[in-house]
Amino acid sequence: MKGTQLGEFEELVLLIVGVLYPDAYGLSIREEIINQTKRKVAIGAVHSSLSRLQDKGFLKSELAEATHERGGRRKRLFSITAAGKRALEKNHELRNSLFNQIPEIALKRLNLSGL
Amino acid sequence: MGFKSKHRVPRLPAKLLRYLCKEALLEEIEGDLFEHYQILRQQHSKWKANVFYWFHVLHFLRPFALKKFGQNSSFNIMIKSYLISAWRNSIRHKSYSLINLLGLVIGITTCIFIAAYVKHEGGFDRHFTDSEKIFRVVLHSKFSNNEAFMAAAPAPMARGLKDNFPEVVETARVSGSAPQILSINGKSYKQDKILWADQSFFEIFQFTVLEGDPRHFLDEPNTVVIDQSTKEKFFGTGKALGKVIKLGGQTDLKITGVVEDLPDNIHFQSKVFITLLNKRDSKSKFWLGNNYTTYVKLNNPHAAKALNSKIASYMLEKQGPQFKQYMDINMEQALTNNEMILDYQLQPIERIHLYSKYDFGVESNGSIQTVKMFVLIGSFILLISCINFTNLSTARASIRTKEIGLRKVLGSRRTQLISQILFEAFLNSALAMTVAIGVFYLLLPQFNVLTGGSFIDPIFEVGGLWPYLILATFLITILAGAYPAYFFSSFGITKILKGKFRKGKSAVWLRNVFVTIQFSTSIFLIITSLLIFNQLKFLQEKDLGFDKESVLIINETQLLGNQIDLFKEEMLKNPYVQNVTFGRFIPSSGANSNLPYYSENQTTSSESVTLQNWPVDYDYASTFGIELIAGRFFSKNYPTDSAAVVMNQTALERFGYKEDPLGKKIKTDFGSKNEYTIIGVIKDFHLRSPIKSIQPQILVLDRNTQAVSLKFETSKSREVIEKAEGLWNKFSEEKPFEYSFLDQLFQTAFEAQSKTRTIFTLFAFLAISISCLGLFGLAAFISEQRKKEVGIRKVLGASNVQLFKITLESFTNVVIISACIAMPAAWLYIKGWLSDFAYQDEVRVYIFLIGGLGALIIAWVTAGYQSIKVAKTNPVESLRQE
Repeated sequence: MKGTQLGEFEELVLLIVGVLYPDAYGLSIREEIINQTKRKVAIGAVHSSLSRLQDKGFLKSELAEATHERGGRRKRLFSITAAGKRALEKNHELRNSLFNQIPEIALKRLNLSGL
Repeated sequence: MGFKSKHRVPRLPAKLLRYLCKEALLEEIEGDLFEHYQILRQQHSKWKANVFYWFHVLHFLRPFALKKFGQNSSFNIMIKSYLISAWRNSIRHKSYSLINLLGLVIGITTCIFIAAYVKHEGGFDRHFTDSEKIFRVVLHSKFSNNEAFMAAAPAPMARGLKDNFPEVVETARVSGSAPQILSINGKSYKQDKILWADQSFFEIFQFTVLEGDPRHFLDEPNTVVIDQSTKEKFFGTGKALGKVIKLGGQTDLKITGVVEDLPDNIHFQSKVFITLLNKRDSKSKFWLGNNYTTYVKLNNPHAAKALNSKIASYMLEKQGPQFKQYMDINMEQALTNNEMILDYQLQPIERIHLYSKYDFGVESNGSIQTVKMFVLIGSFILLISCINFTNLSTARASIRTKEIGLRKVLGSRRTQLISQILFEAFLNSALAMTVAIGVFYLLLPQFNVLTGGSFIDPIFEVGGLWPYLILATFLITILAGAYPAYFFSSFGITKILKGKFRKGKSAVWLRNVFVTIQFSTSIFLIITSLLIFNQLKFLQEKDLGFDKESVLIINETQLLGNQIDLFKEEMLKNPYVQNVTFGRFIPSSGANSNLPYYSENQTTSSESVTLQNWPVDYDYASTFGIELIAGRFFSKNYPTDSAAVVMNQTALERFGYKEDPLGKKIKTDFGSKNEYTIIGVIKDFHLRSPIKSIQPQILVLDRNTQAVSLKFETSKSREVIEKAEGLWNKFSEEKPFEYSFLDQLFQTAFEAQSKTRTIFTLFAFLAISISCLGLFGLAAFISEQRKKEVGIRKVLGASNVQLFKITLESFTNVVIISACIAMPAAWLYIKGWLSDFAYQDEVRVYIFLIGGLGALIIAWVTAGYQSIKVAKTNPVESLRQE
């Protein structure tokens, strides 16, 4: 079904939400992405991705308490839904299966030519 | 508690976010940004943190976060509704819609043409690899009163620069050539556009190579590279590599390469490149002559500035000793005392075409003035057509008020009304743009003929104009639609629906301002084009000092060898031929030969006068009808004439020989003889194009057989040519017979100016026709609105003439005010334009009157038709409805 496919960046965000549980919200997710992948990401990009993932049903969210750090504003904490978990598993399996199908010789050749 | 005070986020982006962001998302987003900002402030300066904050806020302007504006209406449905009402409105008022569109189409088409031209002019010499790193050496020199700007440098300079300055990657020299006779397998062709060039020329300028190895094109003597079309002319479709071309009947040149034809926006337009190794003086170590156009490629375009000053000291080091040796001048002293200027500079090749004033470059130049002028005219014309649109739309306001009122009742916001009007403007401008592009391609062939351009597909080619046209469509939308949008959306709802809508005073006032702008532009263009026309006519009819009629010039007569005297004798036997003279120095042909001379009592060469030194023979003056003021012309009866000169008045003044110049002497260091006696003074004649001032000139007796000029009896040109060709074929053994007429030669000197005139006239015509279209539409509407008034007046006994006058009055005032604005502007502009000319026609006052009156009459005719129509209507027709 179209629309439930996971994009590469979406998958990354989804994974990070899992990693950060139970403290995954916009800014912390961005920090984690930067730390783990060294990619430069705008906050807006993360939010946009989060909202899309929520629309697809892969994430659920609730508002937490307001804190002083945020100028008295509440943060929205995200967590993975069952559907999100399935989507991640499916992607993971697909990757593994495809990787295992690569004939050994192909990787060997790579090593040789890399020398 | 650690209750640190927090940094406040910058206010403006926060506000922006609050305004644009969905409420549901706002809190978390603001929170995240706030938190992030605190971190930023710890790590960075406030300024930097703010920039980052801005960056992140702007990154939230994505569809998911943006608020929905407007009401519960679908965008698509509204667009559909706008389309319908735009369509119905334009169908109901066909003629006005058509006028509107036509004005825009004319305006846009003109602008596309101008844009194509400007882009072509601005795109010169930009397509080489590293164009921005390539420079040309130019020289500003001044000795005593002789100032010159030349694109030339001494022969050894190129080598010297390359060897001594690390920032110079490569240098190359070229030297232009007069047309030559090339023979292939015994068949002779006259070939122009020949360039002598170093091998390194092909390393600096990279052409598309079809045959041969560009690294070894010209690195041996007797080699030549030709372009594709020349190859096809000589050899057809076969290969040319290794074949032989005979140059001037003597030297065999081996073809070492074929390159693709050069695009026409390169400042040199050469077709044949002969190796400089065949030119003896190319190896010269003489630093005082400037004979070679020199190109320099740097490793960095910004190095040029620093290099210029280094070149100055380098040239002093090289030229200094030679100045001492040959001319006994202390160069350093002369330079510091300003007795002499010798300033070598690097000129970026990208600037050559438009900004260069240097003579003796390989090819003639365009002018940034012309380009600027066209851009100005283009924007004027676009403005005029946008004003048309604005005027007609607001004039139609009274008709559309009901629609606007209803939309308001149904809940349209002001922004929606504005977007509706803008949308209509966009539809119009997009449609006009499409039509204009079509018209452009239809007219392109004629345009090419008119301007001598060779445009094929300037819009859709790679790097073409299309992105600009898309941009222009939006710009026109704004220009034409902004005021109507503001105007329409400002109506009060109750007033409209009560039918109390009156066109406000301010609207009428503004409309008059618009019409004033249109008419002042038109009047400006009419006046300036008439003045330009006059100036060119003045130059063309100016007393040239020689008789350009009925002179036949036969070129390349050196091919006749010793037979040439016989040729002359035979031609003179023809009853129609009056005089025959030898020599390639023909008035207005661009022949050029500078030499410094000084008067008999002067000794130092710094006081010399640079003269045009023209070798002629006995019959020169009689053939060209040059008038003697004093003394005599060369004559066979005086054997001493070989050391005699005839000079023009300008030269006489420069030497200061005021009274009794005959018998006085002038001296020179150059040539075989160094003292000449003045035997005659001729009236100044235009040796170059009459656009330029007359230089001091002397004529000396010498034999030069490169051309023969024949003065013949008017209207007998056919007979004379036949006779000459017959003789030629008899004597020359199948060499090409090439001739021209002096008056044609003279005309070509005016080509650029004539083109400017044609284009200017065309633009003036277009501008005035667009303005008239607008005025026509406007007059129609105003007459329509005043129908009832006119009806009542008529009932009360006003005559047709009176009514006619009433309607014309308002237009008359507008045109008069426009004339008052346009005339001084035209005056100022034309003064500037004329200052380029050495000889100027006086600016005639009546032309200004013609411009103003012409516009007035045109306005009357356009508006008059409408007012007569209204005045003639039976009042019953216009009054019965109430």
